[in-house]
Amino acid sequence: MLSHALRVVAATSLVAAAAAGLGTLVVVLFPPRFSWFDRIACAWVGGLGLLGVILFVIGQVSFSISCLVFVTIAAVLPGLAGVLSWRRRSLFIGVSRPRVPAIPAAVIVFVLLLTAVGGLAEITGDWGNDAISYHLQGPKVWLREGIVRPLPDSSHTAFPAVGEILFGSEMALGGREAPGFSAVFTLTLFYLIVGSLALRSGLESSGAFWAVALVASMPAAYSGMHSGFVDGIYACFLLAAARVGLDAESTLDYAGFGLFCGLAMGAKYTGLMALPLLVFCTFFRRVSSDPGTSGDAARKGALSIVVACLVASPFYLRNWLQLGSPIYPPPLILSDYLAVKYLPHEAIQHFHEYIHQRGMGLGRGFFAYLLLPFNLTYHTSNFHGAGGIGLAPLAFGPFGLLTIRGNSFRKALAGLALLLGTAWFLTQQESRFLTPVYVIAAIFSVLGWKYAVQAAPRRTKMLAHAIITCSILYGIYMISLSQKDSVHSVFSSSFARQQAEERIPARESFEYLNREQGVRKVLILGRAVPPYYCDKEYLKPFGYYGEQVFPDLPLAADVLKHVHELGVSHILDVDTADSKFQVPDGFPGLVLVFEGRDQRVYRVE
Amino acid sequence: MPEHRKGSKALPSYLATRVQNVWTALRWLRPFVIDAWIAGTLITFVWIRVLGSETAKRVLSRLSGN
Repeated sequence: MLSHALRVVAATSLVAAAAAGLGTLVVVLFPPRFSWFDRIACAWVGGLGLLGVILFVIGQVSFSISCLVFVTIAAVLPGLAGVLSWRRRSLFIGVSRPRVPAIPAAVIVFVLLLTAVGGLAEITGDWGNDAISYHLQGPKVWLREGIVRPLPDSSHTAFPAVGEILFGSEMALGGREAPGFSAVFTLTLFYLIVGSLALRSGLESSGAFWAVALVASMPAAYSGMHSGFVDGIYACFLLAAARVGLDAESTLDYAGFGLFCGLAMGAKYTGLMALPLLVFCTFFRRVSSDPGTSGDAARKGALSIVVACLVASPFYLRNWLQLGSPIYPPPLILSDYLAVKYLPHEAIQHFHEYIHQRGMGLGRGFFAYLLLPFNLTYHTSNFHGAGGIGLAPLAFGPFGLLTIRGNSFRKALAGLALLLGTAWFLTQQESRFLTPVYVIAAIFSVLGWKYAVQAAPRRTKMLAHAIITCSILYGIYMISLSQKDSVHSVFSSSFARQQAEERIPARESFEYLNREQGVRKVLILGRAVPPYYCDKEYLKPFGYYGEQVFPDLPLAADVLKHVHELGVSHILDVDTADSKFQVPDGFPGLVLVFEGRDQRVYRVE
Repeated sequence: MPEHRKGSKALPSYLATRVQNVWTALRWLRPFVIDAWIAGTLITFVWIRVLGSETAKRVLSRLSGN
């Protein structure tokens, strides 16, 4: 237990050190007015993103453990050199320590500790858990095969993969649980960026602490940060882009802004949508603070778009070259013109219908749009809201907006939140995708809190305390509830076993296949059976979203006819809600070697 | 000054006074509006998320003996 925990901690620490090392290379891209705190926050986030991009590019040739260790250790060196140099050390001497308010600091530390302990538990779940179906599935196979390739049976592994690549390197260094524990590092970066934005928005250090505490106690923001999700990493890139972009003036500043936009595009497809919105807001901010600079701002904005596209290009070029479309699965408009591998046209249509259906969230239409702040606060359980965002944004946010007059940074930040929120509302209303907007809402909450207390000091102070207490306690309760099972699993092996039994589909069969020496390659027939639990090489002809690995063999019966040519040693057949047993009784050439509840394993003779 | 010129000058000053009065009233009302908004948010939260929760419903139904 202890050695396992130490290994996981060491892996995350090494990745964090590598990110810090690469971060020293991007510091030159930040505006000169940045404080040392802004520099550390943005450089660390930038370094993490660069590490992901570099490992992805190298992974196209080799994704072996030795290669990953070499690159990660090499990435630490620039940081080490920087720390050792006299100039760098003198930078941190004499830095004044901010006053740390006890309550928000306690909230932040509690969430970090909870995540650290819960992160030591194994991540389990069925196909409905995105971490199991692709965020961790891809890296596991890439490590086994020693190369980064999209899995033909899981189209989502072709998504932009900065986060997944980092999970892969953490897995290689610290084992299967390392990506779960790395959430502590992601959260730390996230809180640093939130703090940096809060300070720039005009809050004092105690106000910034409160803004971070409000974000830390938002269950909806927390849900995308842990257990193998990449929304936290994406939010870090997007917020860092806003932090750099809204203060950008020189060409280098805009290049830094473009870098973070590109990293956001390399972490999630939603980064593509965020790019024009970010560029528009930076343009607006520059022009409103200095009216004569519209031409310069437009030129440099164009430069930042070029940099963003260059940074994100490995992910999209790889898809284009290997799968036939830069965005895979392709958008419906493109699917008529581009022939893509493994996904028939009907499957693409079904996929988009599913996305549209799931993205309905809190409803469409103007009335639903107006009710969004209310519903996000009170009715988050109605959709994939994961516990809400607390009371503070609705209670204080409107007063925070009153403080934007005469402050172009706050105006641009509020505008960015409005644009991102509207785009989210019109596309896919998945709560964790809105994390950057929740952060901006928390900052405006604290600004509004200060405004309200100044404008009406008598009763408001008491009411404000009640709001903050309710908001934080409710959020902490929901977050603790979400981590309860993970924490229990860490301290009780019997409970961990029970969790695995309940949550892992076909668990007994996977245990059999992983244990048996004679198993070389497994044919998995059920489309909803997650191959993440299979430690051996596998072949899955039918993906969950209609992926067809062998277009000439559209049915399980066709695959079974060619089972000897496929080179598989065993077949896993599972009776699920999606499909019944596929192998007929007494099929020639197959021997039933294991049978459990709704699951069978055959050996190919 | 001719009478018609006098009237045209009086109107803006009258409007300005009215606007000033409304503004003063709004400023006087501001603390109450802020308090009402914050209290409303809190009461709605207690209503929907606490009293409206399944746990609260179970406790209330037990207390009422149903």
